[in-house]
Amino acid sequence: MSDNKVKVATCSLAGCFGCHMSFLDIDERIVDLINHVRFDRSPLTDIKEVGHCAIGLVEGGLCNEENVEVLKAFRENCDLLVSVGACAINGGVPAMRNNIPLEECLETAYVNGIGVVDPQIPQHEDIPPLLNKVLPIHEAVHVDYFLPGCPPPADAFWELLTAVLENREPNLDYSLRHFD
Amino acid sequence: MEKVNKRQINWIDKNNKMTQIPTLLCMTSPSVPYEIGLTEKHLNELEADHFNGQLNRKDLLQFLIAIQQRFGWICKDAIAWCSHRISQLETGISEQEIRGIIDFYSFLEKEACPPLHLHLSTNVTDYMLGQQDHQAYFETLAKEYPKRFRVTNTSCTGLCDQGPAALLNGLPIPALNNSIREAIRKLVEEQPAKIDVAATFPTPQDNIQLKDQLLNRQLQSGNAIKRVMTNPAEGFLGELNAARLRGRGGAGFPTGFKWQTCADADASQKVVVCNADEGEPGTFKDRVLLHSHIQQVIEGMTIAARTVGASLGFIYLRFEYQYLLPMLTAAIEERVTQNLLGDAILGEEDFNFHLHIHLGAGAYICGEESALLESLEGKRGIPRIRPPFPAQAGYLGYPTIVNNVETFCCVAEVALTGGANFASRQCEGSTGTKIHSISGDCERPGIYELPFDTTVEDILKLVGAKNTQAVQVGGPSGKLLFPELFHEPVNFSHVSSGGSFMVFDESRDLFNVVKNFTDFFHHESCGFCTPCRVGCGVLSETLDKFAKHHASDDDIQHLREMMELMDVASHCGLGQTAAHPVRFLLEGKPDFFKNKETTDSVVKIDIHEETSAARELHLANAGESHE
Repeated sequence: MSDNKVKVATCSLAGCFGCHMSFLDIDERIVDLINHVRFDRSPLTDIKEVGHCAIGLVEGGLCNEENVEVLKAFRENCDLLVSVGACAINGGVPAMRNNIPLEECLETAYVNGIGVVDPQIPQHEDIPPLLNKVLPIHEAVHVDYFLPGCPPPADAFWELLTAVLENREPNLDYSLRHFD
Repeated sequence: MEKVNKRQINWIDKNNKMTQIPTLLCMTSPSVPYEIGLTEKHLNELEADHFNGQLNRKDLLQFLIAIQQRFGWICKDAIAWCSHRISQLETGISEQEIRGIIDFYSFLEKEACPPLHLHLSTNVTDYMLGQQDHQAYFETLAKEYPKRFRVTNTSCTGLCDQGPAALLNGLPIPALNNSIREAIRKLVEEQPAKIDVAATFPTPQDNIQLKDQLLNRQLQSGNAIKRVMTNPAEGFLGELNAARLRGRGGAGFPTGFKWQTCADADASQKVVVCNADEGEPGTFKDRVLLHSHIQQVIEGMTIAARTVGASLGFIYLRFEYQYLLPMLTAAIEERVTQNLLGDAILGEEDFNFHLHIHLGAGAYICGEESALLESLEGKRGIPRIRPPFPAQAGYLGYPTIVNNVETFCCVAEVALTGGANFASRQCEGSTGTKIHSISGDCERPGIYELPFDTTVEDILKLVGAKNTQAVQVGGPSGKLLFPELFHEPVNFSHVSSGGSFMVFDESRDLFNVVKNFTDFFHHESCGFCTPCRVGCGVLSETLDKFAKHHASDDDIQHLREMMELMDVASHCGLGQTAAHPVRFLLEGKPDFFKNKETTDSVVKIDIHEETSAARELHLANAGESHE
């Protein structure tokens, strides 16, 4: 391979892509970034399988079996795995279902919901089975860094990536960790 | 009553018919067979019988317990009635607040309950004696007769030396075995109107193995008081200080100092409280003292009343020990007739002491003195912020001394034989003797009264413990000791104990012991402060992960952080000590955790287990069955 850029992979599990949008808020700095990193699997590239990367940014928690598989691949291939945003760190909004039995959740959405046509709980081999509870990713794998926020500010992404590129510990200013 | 009448209360719930539970003969309530249900008439009667016709805010908990005992649960109309009655006074209370109280105490039920309710004790010593087997049996029985019988769990019932133990509608049944199981099944099947628990089942035994001064003492009622009355009231403080008596409940606070503070306080009324909420798992010595040495306890309380100038007293009796209630009430009544309680005791003007018994309703935290005072006032037992200390402002704001049952026995001993004599038996500043409740892996569990120079090793020899792997001294909030420390004496300077001593031999997985203690704290956290409420849950769940072999080094790190946080940020001692079992094991024998770490290097969760709900709905592996 001709380039010696640092490889970065990103994905969104049970998340809303809001963290990715926030990442893009680094605006024109993305041009600088591209000079130093190459994106591997990411919604930005449409690469489906993750290759060996220096950094993996994971947005969202685990809500189904497929999430676990993707996370496993990320953990196996990324030297540093970063848990990005409230859902990855705490489960976030998807985890609101955790106190309600799965059956009740599905029935509310697909059977008894207002305006549902042909009510039935979707069932197909292509639909990954849901987990009993939505889990934060560190419940399942070792995580090296946590980037807090809903979403984390663009500057927090910037600090994390520049720190890794400069081979130093990331240090988030108070303003990047304070969300009131 | 307009407000209530307007709602047209239907006393018998449409869905949940509120039938009366069978009267248990040793209960205090009058024996009434099955009745149609709770009516307003019953509530008025209860109020008239026990609360002088006007239910006060501070009587609320006792009133709720009375309803619970007679009817098996507290329906929403009864809650409305209580709220209405109390709101006629200045200090009103909302229905929501009452529901909060019912939810707080584990023996109060606000859902319809079958007439027979069995609580199985979940202390680790019960499990070591085969509790699981009985649990399974009774769960099957409850499934067979869901409308007649329910089985749930409760924290340590104070019968660790004669477990596995249970409570049947609040009354204790020690040493569960097959014939007791059959007897309970028979009750469920035959539904008798009256059940004489004491005649049908074995009763708790004192099981005293070794006596010393306190347990040898046969006190002639009034003798200790008479000796104290030869001196002016404050004179006894000198004796107490000479005795260097320290509280026996666990904290070891100097009793003389506490009493002095209360005596010095300027107030129209002062209060003496005996803390008989013996909730620390593995402790059962107070039960024995209340059962067989009640004269010493009451005598000690009466001396306290004279010394500090109190005229009101309470014994806060834990719900699990309510079978002692008739006996304790009789003891108090007898002393009233002897003029050892009541007004102008033994002819001394201004020496008045009125003693009442207050039942708890199942809350470990109420053993903490300020939570106990809250509970005495009829509220949820949430520890108060100190200062002011109870000795300055306690029950209803009056200066109050709260002491353990055993401490009051020591007080009677000091009064009889003198402070200097009491202090003559001492070891490194700990004076007198200490009563230990010993359970677990040993040949002779039971009650031992021992001097303070007794080492852990001595005790183990005494009780016939072999191949001992570890000992939990002072209950879950105390210390887990390994053989390296068995040479330490059990006293206030070395291994401090409130009286619980649980022995674990080499066959035991200490991880399960620690898990049991952690689950106990999780259940008993009062929920007031977040570090304890959430912290206990996090500890418990993290240990679950170890139990399932899903944990890793990260979780050990997580445990450490949580322990630190709970230690520094919790509101009271419960949260500050709740992580101790985990800490002792993690520091002493980390292998118990390491052995249980996951072998999968990448993913720690078991995907099969995590998708069990989806599989039950036939959503997982759908492809195989789909079309």
